[in-house]
Amino acid sequence: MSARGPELDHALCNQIAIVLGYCELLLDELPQDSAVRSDVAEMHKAALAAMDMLRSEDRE
Amino acid sequence: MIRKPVLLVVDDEPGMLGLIQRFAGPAGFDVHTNASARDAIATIAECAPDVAIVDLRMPEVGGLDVLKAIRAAQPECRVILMTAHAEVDSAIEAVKLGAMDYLSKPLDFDRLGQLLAGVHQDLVNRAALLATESATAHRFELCEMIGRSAIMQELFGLVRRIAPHARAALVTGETGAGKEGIARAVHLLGPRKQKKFITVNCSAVVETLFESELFGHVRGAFTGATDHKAGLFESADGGTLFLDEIGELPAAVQAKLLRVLETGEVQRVGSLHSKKVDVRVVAATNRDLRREVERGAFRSDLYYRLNVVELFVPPLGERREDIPYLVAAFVGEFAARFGKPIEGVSAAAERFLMNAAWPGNVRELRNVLERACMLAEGRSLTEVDLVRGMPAAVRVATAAPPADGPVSGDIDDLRSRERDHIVKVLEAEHGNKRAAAAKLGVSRRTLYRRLHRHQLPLDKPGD
Repeated sequence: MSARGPELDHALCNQIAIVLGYCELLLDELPQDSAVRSDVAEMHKAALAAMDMLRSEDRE
Repeated sequence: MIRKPVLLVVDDEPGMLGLIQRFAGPAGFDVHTNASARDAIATIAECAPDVAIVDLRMPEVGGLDVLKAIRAAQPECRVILMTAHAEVDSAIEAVKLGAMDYLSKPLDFDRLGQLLAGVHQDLVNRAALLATESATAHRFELCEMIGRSAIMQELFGLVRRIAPHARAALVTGETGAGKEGIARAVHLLGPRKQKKFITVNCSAVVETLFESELFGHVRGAFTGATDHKAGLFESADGGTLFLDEIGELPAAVQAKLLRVLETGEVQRVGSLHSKKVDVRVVAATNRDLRREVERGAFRSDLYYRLNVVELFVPPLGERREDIPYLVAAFVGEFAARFGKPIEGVSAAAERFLMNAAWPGNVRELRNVLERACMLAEGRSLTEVDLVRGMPAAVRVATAAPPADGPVSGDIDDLRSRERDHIVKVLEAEHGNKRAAAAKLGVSRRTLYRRLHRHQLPLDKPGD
């Protein structure tokens, strides 16, 4: 369990899940040659990393 | 065209609601979102979701409670729970309580897409099944009347055969047996179905006004005739005039009606001119008109003119095999109207309904079920609900049938019963309207409407 406590962890996880969700929907819809596609991919990558950090902290 | 399936999303996190709406809207769902679990529970019946996605961890009311409430109020609805932390214990609990699936956040859209597609497909299948069922049921129905018994099938067959041709018909049968329904069917299945169907209850018209009602009058024809007025025959021109309780028609009017039927012309009271009308007359009576003719109370020539075809509607007691189908149809109708999750009647209640005397026939059965549905609290009507829903006069079913229709006192009686019941439940719940509404099986909004109607106080401590 993190030092933040379960309530905050839960809320953080929710927020990151929202970012991830929108990124995935956009990546699904954007054409392959879209100029913003790589930007969205970066956001997605960062959100995934944040989620991983939260999860690994959870396991410790 | 199949309606859009309704998806209810409950999550205290508005961003999550938006995300799922963004995904499911384009996938063909009518998406309702609610950030308050409490509110979602209170409005389940109104929302009537086909599928719900519910967050497990919410403040105040948890996802499992929402799941339970949905299972109770909307048993057909599939529920998908989601959570930020996969908690094995609650997942098992959720499946035990009847959840369809369990998703963890971040959402796997492929998986969610598959689940929603499954719900969509189920709905299509169910609609197809219902269509086949109603196609077979169609044979047993005539213009919304239900009759699987041989005796009703015979009547329906006769109505279908004569409706396109007969100029006049006489519908006979006990009070409440469904004479008006048959008259309507004759109209709807005939060539005049686009035209008017006008009902006159001959027992409800004041004798002195009969002529003017039926044939109209000109200005000055009698005191109070301040203007020209068309009679019901003229209003029904091209259509059907339904003369209910024709046995009550005064002798003088019988003669005039006969002339109209013979000549096809009406003369307004006080007018010298007659006017051609083209009206099909369907008459109905619960009396034995032949006997009335024998004792001189009804003109024989009018009787034979009307009785081109006699359609006898059997009393409910002679077609008891129809009772379960009638009960299913009425319960379905009233459950939907009152927004209650009533699915049918208990075995004991069905026996009771099958064996009751029903002097008031289908109308009485319908009235009893309407009251019982209004008062019932459970998923199926019990014998107690039925007895409670019966006016004292009906409970003693040996008494003579009432003259006709529900007596005016019944509705007031029903209102006061409803009011008393609401007060009782509210007291038991210490004035908590959410709990009272749940116990009454209605939404909170419905309860507020009822409180308003009965002029009960809307705010009480505890809510």
